[in-house]
Amino acid sequence: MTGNVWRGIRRGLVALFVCVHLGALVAYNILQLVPGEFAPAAIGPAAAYMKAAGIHQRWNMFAPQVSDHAGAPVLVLVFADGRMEFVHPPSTPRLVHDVPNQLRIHELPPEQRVCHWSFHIVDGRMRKLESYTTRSGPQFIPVRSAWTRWMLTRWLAENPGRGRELAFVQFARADVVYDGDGPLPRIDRVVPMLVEPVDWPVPARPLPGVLP
Amino acid sequence: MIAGAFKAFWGAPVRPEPLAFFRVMIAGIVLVDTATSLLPWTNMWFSRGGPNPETLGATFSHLGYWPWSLLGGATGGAGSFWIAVALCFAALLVLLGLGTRAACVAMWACIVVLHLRAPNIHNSGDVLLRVACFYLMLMPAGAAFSLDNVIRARRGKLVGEPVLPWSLRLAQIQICILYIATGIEKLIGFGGFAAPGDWVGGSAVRRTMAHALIARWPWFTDLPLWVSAPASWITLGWELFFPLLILWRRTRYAALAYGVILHLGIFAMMEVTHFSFTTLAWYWLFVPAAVVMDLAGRQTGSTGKRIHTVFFDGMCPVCKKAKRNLERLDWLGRLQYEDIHNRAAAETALPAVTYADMLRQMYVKRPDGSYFGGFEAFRALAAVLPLCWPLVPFLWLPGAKFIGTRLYRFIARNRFKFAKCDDEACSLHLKLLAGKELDETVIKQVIELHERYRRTKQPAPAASAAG
Repeated sequence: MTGNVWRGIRRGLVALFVCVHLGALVAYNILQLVPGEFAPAAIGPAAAYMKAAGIHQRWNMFAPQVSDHAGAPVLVLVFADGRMEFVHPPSTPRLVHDVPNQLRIHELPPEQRVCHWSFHIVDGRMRKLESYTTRSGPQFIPVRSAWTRWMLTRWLAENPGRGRELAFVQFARADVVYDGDGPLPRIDRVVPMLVEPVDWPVPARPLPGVLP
Repeated sequence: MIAGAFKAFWGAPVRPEPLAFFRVMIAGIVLVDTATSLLPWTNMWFSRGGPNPETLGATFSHLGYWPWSLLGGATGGAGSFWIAVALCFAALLVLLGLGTRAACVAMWACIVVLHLRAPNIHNSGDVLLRVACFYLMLMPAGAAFSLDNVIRARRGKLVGEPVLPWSLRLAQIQICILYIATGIEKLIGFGGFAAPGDWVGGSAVRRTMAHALIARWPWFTDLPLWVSAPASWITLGWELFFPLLILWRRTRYAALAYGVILHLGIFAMMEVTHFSFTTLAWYWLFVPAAVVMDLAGRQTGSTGKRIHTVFFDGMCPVCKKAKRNLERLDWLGRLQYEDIHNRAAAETALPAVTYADMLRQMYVKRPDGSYFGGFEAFRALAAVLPLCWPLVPFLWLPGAKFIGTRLYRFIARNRFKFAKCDDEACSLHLKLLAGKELDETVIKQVIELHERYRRTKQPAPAASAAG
């Protein structure tokens, strides 16, 4: 008798969990796609459950459109004598590295990017981080700032003594465009973006045309 | 009927082997990914001076981007290092199936803590890995191919018994929802026929191949639309109808085969880290236990080998050569052979197959008793020959059976033209069969020939005694 009761309770709990989990899955993944007022109310609790379980994700890879551009982060060093130098992370394509050290470049001639079978293990993660740094919006400023400070720290370690020559540093985004009009991706522009210089070894100063 | 199907879907016990394959592959990916891309770099990724200082947690939290992590506080690189070590250890235990349930819980907790400490270095593949860890906690994933089973068996307990399916069903539904949601999101880009968008317009595959930051190769940046459009449409349709394709037995393997080829193609063309392999790990959950057991090569609940029996024409030189090739490819020792001219044995083993059918094509009998002829026999064999494994998804694609069956028949019909015999019986056999319909007369002649052949092979002492 006791065994049956426990079995019943166990079955009931499993059934309850299955219902809750399925409800959350559908609400979080499918209702997000439904326009209207009902959806947000249902998504809220579902999102809380999914986040608690560490399984929240909007499954929209390459959707609704395949992006026609990508941003590559650039550390901009401005020296006391007015010279400007771009520092590129190794994970960004060669196309970005070949950009002349000038901001606001438009319509560079198309150029073949260097593709390679990349098995630099950390690159996948680094590229994800870099894509966050180049996104617009105030919530991404701290991510960008942390990346810029980290890049600057590395540059200072690799170039001892040159820190004294620096006037200020800035972050810029190189816009890589591959819109399908031509076979080759190109850099359309290099845009300075806002960073928050907290506890930096070198000050940051907004450049003209800074994006948030 | 619907209530019965519902009850069977959620309640009828299932074999645990597919869950075990899922467990092994997911744990392997967690182990390799953590050990190579996180553990050696924890100081860079997670320390205060790195690109992900812990202060970012507070920045993200009010926006709802930052879920819980024990490392969200003041812990720096050292804490992350030890969590990564613990994650690797838990993944190793899960891989081996030792203390599986507890190890799965530990793996899930560690991966959530580590990944969500810095979500901006993790991608969709990482989320899918976390989701897999969550479902592994719920599954009886250690019920097969595990050290737990070895220990249980030594203690005299039953192992390899069927398990309750509800956690498996949840995981299957999860992957269906993933594909459906992605498909719908892609369809949302359709703005009418004037602005069809990338996926309906057919340029999506071309654009992904030209993606500046993740494309591996420069050669496909200008993929023609006549290649890109069908590939885009098939992918979109496959994603939207994935649950139906999986639910219907006749399309299940084709849908899975397309998924395998698609995801391996994505990995070959794009730098998407472990995403493709993590997705493919989920496919084990849709593969019947019999197929999994075929690949594993073990009898259910024992260490005995799962043996496939190949029925071949022992008087056909081409067939004998094919048999020799099979013996070379049978690295796992999974095949045994039966000459169809040993009619009593062959007809007992394949009761619904006539002798004429056996002469027309090769048959393979699987350990579960099911048997296949011709192209389907080759497809069954491919699953147990390691060198043929890369071929398997292609053999299950739509149209593969149609083409394969005809190709097989053509080769089988013409096999006598290229044959060279090494004995008289073989030559007579070929002469009888070449270019003829296998009607009753021919079959009778073949049987007479075999009887004569058998008589010539009688042992000498018996002949002298008769004399």
